[in-house]
Amino acid sequence: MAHGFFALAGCAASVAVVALVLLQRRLRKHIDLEVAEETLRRDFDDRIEDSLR
Amino acid sequence: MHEAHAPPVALAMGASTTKETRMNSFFQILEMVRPDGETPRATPSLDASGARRALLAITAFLSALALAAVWGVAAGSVPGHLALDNLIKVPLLLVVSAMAALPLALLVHRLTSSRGRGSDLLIGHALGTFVGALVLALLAPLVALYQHSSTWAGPAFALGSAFLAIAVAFAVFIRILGKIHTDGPRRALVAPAGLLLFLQLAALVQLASITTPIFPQRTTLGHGIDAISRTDVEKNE
Repeated sequence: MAHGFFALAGCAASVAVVALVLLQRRLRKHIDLEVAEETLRRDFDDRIEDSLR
Repeated sequence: MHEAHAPPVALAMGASTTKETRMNSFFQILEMVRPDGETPRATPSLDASGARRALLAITAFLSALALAAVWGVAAGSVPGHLALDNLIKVPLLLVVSAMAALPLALLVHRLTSSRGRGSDLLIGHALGTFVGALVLALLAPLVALYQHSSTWAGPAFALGSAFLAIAVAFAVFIRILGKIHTDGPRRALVAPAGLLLFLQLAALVQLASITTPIFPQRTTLGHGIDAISRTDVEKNE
């Protein structure tokens, strides 16, 4: 009984860890895009500023 | 000024960004667990976007699992395959006990605290677990040495390192919550934080009792709640 419960808990834990890893990858991509967007915006502002001079 | 108008997309989407994000998360974790000095440093991640906070918590928790596995190997470093078992078993105990404790603690936080986000509790828990696991991993060589060389001091030292890690994890958890809650009353956090600690410890001890022992011999704590009543334990043996 106890071993069955532990096996079930083990399965749940494995699923949770896989979900966390996948979520981590998605979040990393999302944050990379945020950083990219910020860099593009800054670069665009710099170019506008330079062209106005 | 931006450097020499290099192609912005190349700069923005460079291959290093993911690696940088990964490194940044790790250094942010280490920076956040430090105490505030006389001139408080900025803790950038505490008021960051939801995605960054979630990434930080997940990175800290997954790193904690890897570090706990290192300690598990050290604690089971006796002849046989105990070390290999512990490589899976110790992180598994950590995940399952967190899964058992976190949902209720989050509910209590929601019901008792008018300010603050549930993710505050998650970040505090993840960072506390990370530092606790780091303590375990750093003590792992000593644990392995004692397990190899002494039959009575080995388990005692390993168990002591586990208690020390729990104490450090709780202290860091409280520190992080204190850093996050700068405006609201901190006593609102006592109930969810205390409950989280109690539930996780209760789950951890009981789970340890239904699985095969982590140490070569089963310790008193390894009997779970039955250890309180020695007669029950003796009946089962």
